[in-house]
Amino acid sequence: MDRKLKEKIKKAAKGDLDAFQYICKRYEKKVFTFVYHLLGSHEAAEEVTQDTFLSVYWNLKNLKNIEKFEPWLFKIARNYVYQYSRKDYSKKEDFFEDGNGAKNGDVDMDYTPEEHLIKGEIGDEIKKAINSLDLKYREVFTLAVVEGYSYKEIAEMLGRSIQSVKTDIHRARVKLRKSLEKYLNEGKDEV
Amino acid sequence: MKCKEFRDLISEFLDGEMVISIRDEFLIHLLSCEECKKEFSVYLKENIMLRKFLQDVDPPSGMLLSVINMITKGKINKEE
Repeated sequence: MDRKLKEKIKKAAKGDLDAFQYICKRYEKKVFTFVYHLLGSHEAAEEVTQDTFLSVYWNLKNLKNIEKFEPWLFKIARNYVYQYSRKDYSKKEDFFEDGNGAKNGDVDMDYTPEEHLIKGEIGDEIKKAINSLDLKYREVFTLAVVEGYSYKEIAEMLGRSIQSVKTDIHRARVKLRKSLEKYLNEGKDEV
Repeated sequence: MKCKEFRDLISEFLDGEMVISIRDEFLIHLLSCEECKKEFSVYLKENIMLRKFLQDVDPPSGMLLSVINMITKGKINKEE
C-alpha cells in the first residue's frame, strides 16, 4: 500500500471528507465491479456500493491495521451483498437482469470483431451461467478471476481456508464449463 | 501424475497459484497426454472467454456524490 493512501485512510478515519473522497475514487470501480458480478444488476450494485462506502466512512476509526484496508473493504461489500440477496431472495427471478444484454451495453468498452461476437452471441449465456452459480462460488471466482486476488488473500478476506477457496474456484470453473459446453467444445478435437 | 490429479490442478495453474514443485510434473503430463491436453484447452478457452466478459464495470456517475451527501446530511442530523 502506498504512503499517500495510508495518509488518506488515517485522515478519513478522523472524519476528513476530502481524504474519504480520495479513497472512494480509488476503489469505487473495483468495489462496484465486484458487487455487480455477484448481484448481476446495476441498480443493486449501486445501492450496495453506496452502503459499503457509507459503512467504511463511519467505521474506519475501528480499523486496527491500515495495511488490511482492502480486505476489510471487500469484507464489508461482501456482507452487504449477502444482506441484499437475502432481502430480495423471494424475488430472485426479477432480481437478476434477464440476460438479454440490455445492461451489458452499459459497459463502456471498445470491441474488436471477435470480442463483439463473444459479447453478442455468447455474452448473454455467460451472464446466465455466472448468475446460476451459488453466491459462494460467484464470490470466490470473481475475487480471483476479475479482481486478481491470490487464493491466500481471498481466504483471509472471507475467513476461510485456502483449500476451501481453491476447491470452490475449481468447482465454479467446472460448473461454468458445463453451462457453456456448447461454446467451449467447438474445435476441441482439433487440439 | 495421473489424469485425475492433473485435471484437479488446472484451475490452480490458470490462476497462477501452482507451486513450482508440482508445475514441472503438471507440464510434462500436459505435453504427454492427449486427452488432458484437450481438457486443458477447454478450460483455457473458458478462462479467456470469462476474463473478456467479466471486465471492470463503470459505476454510474454521481454514485459517490450521493454517498458524500448522505454523510453530510447524517452529520447535520447528528449535530441537530
